[in-house]
Amino acid sequence: MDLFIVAFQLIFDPYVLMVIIFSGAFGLFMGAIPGLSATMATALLVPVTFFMPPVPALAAIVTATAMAIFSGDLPGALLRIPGTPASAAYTNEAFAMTQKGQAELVLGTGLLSAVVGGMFGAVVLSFSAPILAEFALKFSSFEYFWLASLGLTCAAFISTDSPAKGLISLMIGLLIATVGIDGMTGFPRFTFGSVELLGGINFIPAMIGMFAMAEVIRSVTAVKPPPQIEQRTIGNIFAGVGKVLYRYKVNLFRGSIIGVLVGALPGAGSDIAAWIAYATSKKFSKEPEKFGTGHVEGIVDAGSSNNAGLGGTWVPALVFGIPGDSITAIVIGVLYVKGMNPGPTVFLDQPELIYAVFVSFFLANLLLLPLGLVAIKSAKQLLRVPREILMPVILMFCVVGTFAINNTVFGVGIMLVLGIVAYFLEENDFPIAPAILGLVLGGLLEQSFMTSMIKADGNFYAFFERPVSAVLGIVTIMIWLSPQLVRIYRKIRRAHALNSKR
Amino acid sequence: MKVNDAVSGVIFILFGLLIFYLTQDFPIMPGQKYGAGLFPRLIGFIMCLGGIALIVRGVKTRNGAPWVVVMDWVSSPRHVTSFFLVIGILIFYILISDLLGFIPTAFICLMILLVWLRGSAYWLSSAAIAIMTTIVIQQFFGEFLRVPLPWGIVPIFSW
Repeated sequence: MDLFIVAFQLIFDPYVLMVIIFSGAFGLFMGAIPGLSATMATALLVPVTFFMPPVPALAAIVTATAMAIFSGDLPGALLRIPGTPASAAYTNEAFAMTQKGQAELVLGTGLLSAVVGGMFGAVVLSFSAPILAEFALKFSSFEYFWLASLGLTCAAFISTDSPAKGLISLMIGLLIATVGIDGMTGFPRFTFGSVELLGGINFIPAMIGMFAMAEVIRSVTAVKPPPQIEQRTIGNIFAGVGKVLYRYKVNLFRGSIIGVLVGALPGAGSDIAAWIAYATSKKFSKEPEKFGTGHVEGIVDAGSSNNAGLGGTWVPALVFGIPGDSITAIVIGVLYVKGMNPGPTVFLDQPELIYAVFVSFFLANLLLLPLGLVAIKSAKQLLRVPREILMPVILMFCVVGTFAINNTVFGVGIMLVLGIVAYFLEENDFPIAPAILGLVLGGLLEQSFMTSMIKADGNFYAFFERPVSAVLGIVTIMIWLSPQLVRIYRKIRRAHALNSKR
Repeated sequence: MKVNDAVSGVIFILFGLLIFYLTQDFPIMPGQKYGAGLFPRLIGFIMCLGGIALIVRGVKTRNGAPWVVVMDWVSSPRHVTSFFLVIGILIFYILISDLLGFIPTAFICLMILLVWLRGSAYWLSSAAIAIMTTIVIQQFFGEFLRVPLPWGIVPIFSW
């Protein structure tokens, strides 16, 4: 409890609060513009947080992502384009409600279920993480090797329809992580004589390139003009929402639980949580035939689950240093930059920092209510911001952001090259998230693998000798061998796609 | 460029083999059978496996579709220019910003992109946006966050 009080003092500092409010507004804006996702908001925030102490830096990311995941609902409901991938699961449903003249109800429901789900995620995170961290303190390099493998394979297999493509994307990330001086032998790898590459490829320019620069290219080459929002004003969004939430209180709770669990699964984040929650909602609904026609039930489930998932993804990230999705992968990168070693030792060395993250989760979700309301009211203006102005400004911001990390234009070059690579990969349906996870976790994976190899003296059985590592190892290998779960998930998604086409 | 999965499979197999080639002369750790090359080679090996899976999938699902399809914007000169303009502007920034300084370089980059994307009729408002963005970024990063943005030909000043 003392720690919570310390954490409160850390967060309720005028500077930190200012950072939180600004990043909240920034997150709402980024989420509401289709194509600019919560991940991209985080990517663009990182160069700024680079100059902050850890507490405001983490609070900024927490707030911006919580806001962006909600505001992704806005273009979903009003334009039928999800603002962030996390809103994709129920975009058709939300738009159908808008067409029936229920835009207020769907946005109000989305906002309140997001707040409830986010709060639920925050509670679970604050209570489970310290307990799990105590357990994780006993881990050795074998367990970390398996955990990192587990997280990475989940990321590669879940995030795409084609596991092979996820795997290749992951390998690209891991390969980028090997560039530079090898920690074990001191040998410069893949540097091709470049002095700048000796230090390795910094993850911040890489990530800005892959998420932001690739999106700028996609936007300037988009042949179809983005759809325009029709003229309409948004009335009282809270009318009738209480009744909806009371009626679907079970859904609210179920969606939140699914969100946290899926989020905590390494490799799966809010977007997958929303798909699964929506499918579950339909399956157990008394009126499944109404789904897809503008029925609010699924929105309660999915709207709460994607914000709850956000809290869930931080559990493995904080406890093991293994990110649950690309946003927490960026967070892990930020923690490394701040000289902190993500993992259970942070709970011992700087527990107040972890608790500050918990407090900022609660605060961010409370702030979601007023800020979300403002965003809904100004949705019309938000959705009208012209791309032709936004993209050059974002590009310039990316340039300065990457420059600021090492104060050389070399970072800009990395951003450019990886941005183009990421653009072509995505055009060919390769997911980008596994590459970022690989890039962030590559160092840890290789180090724990090599350390374990030396400890084991080439004996592979040593990877299974300790009980926890045996369990983790078997689970990981089971996932490698049976993409059954993934098939089921794909079936759900395909069925949904078919339904929405009808 | 949108290519059939089999084509990207071949590309990644070649890439995996390239990793093997490049790691040939990586030293091994004293007293061990492996060294700096083990992990990259493992990556290359898995990449080859993924490539094979893609070839199988690509050939199976091809159904007479072309191996390579260019993206829909390639036939529109305007969008092709936009694509190369974004890349060109970044290269321009990398080459010139140190010499010219951040403020003029950023203004030129923004101005070119804005005028191209919005049309020259709006040049005045584009110029205003370019100036404002440059000043805001310079103030925020250069002054507030103390990033040493290059001054170049501009005399050093502080607000």
